[in-house]
Amino acid sequence: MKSEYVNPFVEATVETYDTMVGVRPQRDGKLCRKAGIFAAYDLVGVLGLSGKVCGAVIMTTSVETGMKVVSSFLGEEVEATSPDLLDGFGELLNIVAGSAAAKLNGLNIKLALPTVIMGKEQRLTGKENSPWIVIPMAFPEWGKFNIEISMEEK
Amino acid sequence: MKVLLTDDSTTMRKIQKRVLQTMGITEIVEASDGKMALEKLTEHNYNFDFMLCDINMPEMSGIETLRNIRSVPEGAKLPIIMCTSVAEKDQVMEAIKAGASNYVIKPFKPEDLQSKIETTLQRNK
Repeated sequence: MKSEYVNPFVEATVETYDTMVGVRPQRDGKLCRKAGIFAAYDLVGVLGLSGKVCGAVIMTTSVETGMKVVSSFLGEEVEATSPDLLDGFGELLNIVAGSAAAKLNGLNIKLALPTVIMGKEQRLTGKENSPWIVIPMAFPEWGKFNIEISMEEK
Repeated sequence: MKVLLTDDSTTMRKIQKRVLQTMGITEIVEASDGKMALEKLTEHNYNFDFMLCDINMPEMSGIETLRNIRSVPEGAKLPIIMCTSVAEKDQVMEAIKAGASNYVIKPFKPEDLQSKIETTLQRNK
């Protein structure tokens, strides 16, 4: 995956959270590449990317942080058992991916519908020839999350 | 004022509903996809002041829904504001060609949505 794909996703994440949630997340450590089987947080949103690319973007965080984020997005308290937690997290991922894709114009990126999974000890897999680029990020008071991208031009 | 709110995300519908309520709109009918939106329109004899419609939805996309609405005389003049994420800008143009009255791009602030609604209603007076 080309390194110039990273910044549009970071900018889109900051803009989306700033506009829709009222909080500015920041980068939180170095990028890393992951392949094989690796761990994710307990709340995982996945959204497929197509068009002139083939890939997906993941947004993952702890359930506790996810609840704070979605509660602020929605403007009402969201419990861990609420369907709004999964729906709201998926909608935020949809907006992040849409905004990033627009910044990568020329790749004509089309978005699939987001899928959100919740559960302890999530594991993701990545192929050696198409690894995930993990962007560690954090909300100032709510905790850490990752944006993870695997995307190749067709 | 009566509004048809169509989005597959319940969270986004709640956020948009709150904006509508702050504008004093209380009669809000919700649909979670295009097919349901068409059913609600028929059920209410197309008697809505305007419609907010997401583009990227399962079952029937917002643009297909829009084309269906514009293909019948009752839906020809209904103000329809399409709501989408910025990646679908080309789809916004497609929506405008298909008869969308206006569009709002996510991420948006509540005041952006309110402003789009007010502009659209002003234009369609």
